[in-house]
Amino acid sequence: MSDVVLAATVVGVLCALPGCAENIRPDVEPDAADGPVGKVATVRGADGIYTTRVDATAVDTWTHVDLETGAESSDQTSWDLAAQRFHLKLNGGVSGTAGVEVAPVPGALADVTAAPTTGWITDAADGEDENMDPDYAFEQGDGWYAYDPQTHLLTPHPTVWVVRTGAGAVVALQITDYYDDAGTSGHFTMTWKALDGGGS
Amino acid sequence: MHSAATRRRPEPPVITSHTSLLSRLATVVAGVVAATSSLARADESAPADAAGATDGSAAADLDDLDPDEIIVITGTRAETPLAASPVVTEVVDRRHIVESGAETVADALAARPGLWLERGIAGTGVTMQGLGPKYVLVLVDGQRQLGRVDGVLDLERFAAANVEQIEIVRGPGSALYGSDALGGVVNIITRAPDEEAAELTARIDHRRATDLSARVGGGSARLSGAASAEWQRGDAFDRTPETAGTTIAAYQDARGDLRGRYRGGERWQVDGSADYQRRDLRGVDATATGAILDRRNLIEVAATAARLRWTGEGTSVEARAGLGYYRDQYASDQRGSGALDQYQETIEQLIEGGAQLDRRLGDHHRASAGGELLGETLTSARQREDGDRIRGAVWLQDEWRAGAAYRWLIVPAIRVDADTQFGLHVTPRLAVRWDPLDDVAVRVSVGRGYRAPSFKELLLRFENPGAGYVVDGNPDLRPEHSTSGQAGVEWRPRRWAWISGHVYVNELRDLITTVTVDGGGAGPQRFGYDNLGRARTSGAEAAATLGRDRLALELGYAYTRARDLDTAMALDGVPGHRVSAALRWRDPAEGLTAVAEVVATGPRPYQLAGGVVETDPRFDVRARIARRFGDRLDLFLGVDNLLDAGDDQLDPIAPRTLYTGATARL
Repeated sequence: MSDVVLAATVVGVLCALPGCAENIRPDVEPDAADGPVGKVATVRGADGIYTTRVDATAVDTWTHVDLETGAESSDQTSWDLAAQRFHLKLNGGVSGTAGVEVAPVPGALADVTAAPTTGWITDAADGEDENMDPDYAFEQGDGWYAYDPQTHLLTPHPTVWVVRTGAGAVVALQITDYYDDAGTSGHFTMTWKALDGGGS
Repeated sequence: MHSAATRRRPEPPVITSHTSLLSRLATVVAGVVAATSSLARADESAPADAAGATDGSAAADLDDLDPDEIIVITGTRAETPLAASPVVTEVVDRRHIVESGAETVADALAARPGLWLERGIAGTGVTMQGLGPKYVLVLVDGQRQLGRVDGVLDLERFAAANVEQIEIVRGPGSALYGSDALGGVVNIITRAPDEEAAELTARIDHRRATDLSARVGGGSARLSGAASAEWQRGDAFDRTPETAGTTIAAYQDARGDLRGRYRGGERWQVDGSADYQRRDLRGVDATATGAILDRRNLIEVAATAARLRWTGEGTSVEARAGLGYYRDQYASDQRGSGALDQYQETIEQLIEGGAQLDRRLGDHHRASAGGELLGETLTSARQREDGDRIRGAVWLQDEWRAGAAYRWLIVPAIRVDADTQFGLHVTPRLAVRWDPLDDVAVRVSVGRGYRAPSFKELLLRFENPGAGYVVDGNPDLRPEHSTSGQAGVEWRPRRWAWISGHVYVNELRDLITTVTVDGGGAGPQRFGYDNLGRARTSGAEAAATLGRDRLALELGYAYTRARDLDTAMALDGVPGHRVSAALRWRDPAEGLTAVAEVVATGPRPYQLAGGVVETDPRFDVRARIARRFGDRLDLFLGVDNLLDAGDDQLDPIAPRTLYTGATARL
């Protein structure tokens, strides 16, 4: 009889074990070594080239960038570009009221010294394609990135985007990266400079 | 569960794809066959226990069993001598498991040429007849197992220490087992509770991976039980030290299980079991974006089962019930950021019950009928809702012995499943065995198989926030189907010689494939699933065992052709050729056993973004030598993956490993 009791006890213990392992959910708070939290940050290099980093990781909100200040726009009107994950939109066309437009120019940022006279585009309504998104200027033609379906990596094309801002300034802008130093996607790095006296 | 005398089957052996390898093997084989045959003939004329063993148990342990001494159950769901089975069944018995140095069921199956064990992010799954892990049903004592990840049931999860034998039935088994049994069935039979044992095994390798296991069992003829426990740990391994990611995760596993048996006279038997396992896996992933993620899976698996059996004159009745629980906590912690931190908990639960009646009808028929009821649930953060389903089934089978001297055995079977997701499904099978001569058996079978859509395929909602692609499940999926033909010949001209050949073809349709739901451009896309795929696998396998008891050479070859019928491309990861050779030497007088195994695997194709890539051939070599000291102690020494095969991407197997250890019997 004692064998039966012993066996029943052990079985009971085994049956009580499932689901008892500790919870291994990572801390909700960022790690101590985690990167900065600000969504838009701009620094000016010694050569006069500005570098702007934009955190566009949010799935359902846009991060608005004011190229006049190099900072995140504090209101819904004084912005030039906005980013949400891999999407970039302009404050013009179907996306905004400030009349911002861009002209894509192949090449390096240093090679662009003046605004082109043609090739200006802005965000348009969804056209004949298989998605339901607006036809953002940054995604028309070849768009700003190349997509690798195997690795899902997005690599910026070597394109300079000449931007006419809402305030009428003209800047030459190049997207250099879509990932931050920790490898997180949705972090744009843009280098840019003012043309014809425009910019910040 | 069935009786536990050591079982074994003359197994399949060798084979491959490369001429240079073949020539090398041929040279070795020619020499060994001569020695093997002469030694085996000597054994044939002398009882094994007269071979100089110092004690009876040691001598018995070193004898091979004849196929008619080996009892199998998987092919017909009825206990049948292996030699009389109407369905081709391969058995990996306890002796082969121990002598190979296997720590897990995956290790124990790795040298079978007709099986391909592939390690991936979801664990090590088995491919059979060119059909991947999601088309192979894995059972433990006849009970379904939870925890498939991307269709893969990780065979590293099942410790070899508690396994009596592994039965492998190739080809569709859905007529008896229902869903998932398209490529075949692997049934892991655990050691019986009435096996007298009190043993402790310790093993350590040169990278300090450690395995400690203990087992105690026994009792009276009326009541017996066994308890076992095991603890394993090992460090992560990295084939590319220049990168941050690991090739194989560090692990720390612990498990405990109980088995009990009560016999009420000659007719009644009750078996019960309860198992619990905890696996802690820790690795590092380096993504293409440069992110470094510390990954951890904490997995708990629990199961309990009971079986009641009554055996009368020509009749037996069995009722069984089982519960399963699987919980996987997945945590990913990004270094330098919290943006990619993840935590996902997956919980699966299974309840199943069934009854089976076997009855002899006259001298020519043994009929079996059964019914099953299964309920399962799955909760996962990656699903749009919790999944649950109930499936009921009834099945019938008749074993009809016909012809002069009963040389024909005709076994029709049919099963009807009714599932809350896909409705009714019927799977038939007809197996025929013909014994034209006393030492020749011919087996032919045709049948169908099916696989029910998984909860993931039905209910997935996965979004990659970085690249913006989305994968959605499809709740309207139907089961995948296969129609199969199998034929084989087995010839046992001498007690020390066994040769077999086997051919097959599997035609699959309604395969669940990934499809683009919208967005056909170059950008991030939305994916889904649909029943659009068609495939065909075909092949041949050959096996031979020469010699037995003291010296045996086992050879095997498997040729596999697996094609997607829509693209005419080879199915990913399926090797066209595999060759194996194993040489076993046992010296009862000295208590020595030595085994050397070589498996050559031909190139495997993978469709990658840049086109089809073929892996290099793989050569697995492992060897083990063990010596028994008296009745109480065995010492062993071995090496796995002697040639250090494998790579970081398409073949992430464990590197060369030297190990040693001991088993003490109390």
